[in-house]
Amino acid sequence: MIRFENVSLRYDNNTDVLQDINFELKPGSFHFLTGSSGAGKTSLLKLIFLAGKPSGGKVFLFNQDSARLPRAALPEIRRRIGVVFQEFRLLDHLTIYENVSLPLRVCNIKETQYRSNILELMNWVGLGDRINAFPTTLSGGEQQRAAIARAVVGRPNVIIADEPTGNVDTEIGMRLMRLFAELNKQGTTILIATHDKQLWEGSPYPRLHLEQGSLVPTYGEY
Amino acid sequence: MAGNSQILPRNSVAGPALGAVTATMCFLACLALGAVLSVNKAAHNWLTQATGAVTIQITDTENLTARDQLQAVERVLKRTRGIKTYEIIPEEKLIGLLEPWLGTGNVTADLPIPVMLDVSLNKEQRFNENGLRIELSAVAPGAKLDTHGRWRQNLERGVQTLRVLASLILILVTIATATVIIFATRAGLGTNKQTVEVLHLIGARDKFISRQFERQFLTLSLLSCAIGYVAAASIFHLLFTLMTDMEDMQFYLLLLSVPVLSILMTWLIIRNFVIRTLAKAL
Repeated sequence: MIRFENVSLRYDNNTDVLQDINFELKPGSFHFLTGSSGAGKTSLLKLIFLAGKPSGGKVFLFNQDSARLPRAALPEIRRRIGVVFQEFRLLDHLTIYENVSLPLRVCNIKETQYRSNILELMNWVGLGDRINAFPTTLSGGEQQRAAIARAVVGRPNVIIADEPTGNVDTEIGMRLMRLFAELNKQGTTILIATHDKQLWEGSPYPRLHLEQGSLVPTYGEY
Repeated sequence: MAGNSQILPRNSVAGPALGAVTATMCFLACLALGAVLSVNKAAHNWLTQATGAVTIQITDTENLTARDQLQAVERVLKRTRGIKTYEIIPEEKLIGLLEPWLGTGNVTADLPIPVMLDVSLNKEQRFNENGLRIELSAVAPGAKLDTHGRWRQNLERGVQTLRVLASLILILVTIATATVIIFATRAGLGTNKQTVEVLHLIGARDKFISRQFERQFLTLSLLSCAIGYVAAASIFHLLFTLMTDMEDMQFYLLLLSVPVLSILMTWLIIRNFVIRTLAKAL
């Protein structure tokens, strides 16, 4: 589903961010992407959700080389990947309902076709009573759940979450993890980037570990 | 609830300042076009009147007085094709026409006043101007046919100059408006950079994003152009109350082309500019 072949990423100032990255995410898999801050986790995720291009190597998304995708094909690929951004990236001038429904609106789906689904999803993430609230009036945890709702509303094949528990307390963090596990059970491929050891320790899911831009083996964990 | 709400923040793309500029530009363009239309119509009326009539002036020659030549001229006029009627202008009227220059009562009896004939032409028949001129010179050497050609030429030249001037104003206003819209769109894209990025990342097509910009601009353009049009139309309406036979619905319909074309131009500029800018993004 997602495959990295000898991928490297170098910024304009000649800083190597990623070096020789090789891995594959199979359909329905659940992975953690770990590493300390600055290890290159966000940069790697950006290559998956097409917010950046690799300097070397190949990134295959749904069996298509991302470098060879015509611009017109990018929206379709992006719609298959739900992203929970580290800083949420909710639009402050839209209500939570409007933010969550955005991925459906950009597909020109009529509101009558999705309204009940959104309300159900909002209840599922525990925001049923905050649909008309604006993001700035929500707590970090609520914003995080709204961001997750927005990422899953279009029923993407893959969900990528960048430090999804970074702004919430442990209890909410565990609730969010149960939410991701539930989505994974429904067949969604999940990749969660985190530097929080508590999140992945003791979890049954495999881990991709980044150190200074390179993937390092995580022997004997599983 | 969400279906029709604006995705871009209100006034983040097209603010009141842009609205004021667009309204002013539309107003100026309407004035320029209206001026051309009015002058065209007035000139057309004057030219129609002028081409529908000619004047014959008969002066004394060495051997013949003007009165001696009048009968011969009348005979020629009666058999000339294209002439509807003619009228000999009474001498008192001619003296009246001279009085503004010479002063009342200063027209002396020995002042040679020509005989003037006002000739109306039949528009449905072809009038041979040169033929009449030759015939007149044969029977009345003191007769001179005046078709008001020079006056007509001057009027046509004046109208043409005004047309060029108004076209230049229209071109300048169009360029200025287009520039303002491009700058405003660029600023709008800058202000909404984060929103545009999020929209891209959740799978929005460039056309969808462009539509959000078009929507804000067009709503504003519609209002601004309506204000500009109504203001210009009101001024023309006031002017036309002073001039008879000038106001008609066709004038206002033609003037309406300014706001319609302005809105169309705004839409095309924004669509092109936004799509081209977004194409450079990831």
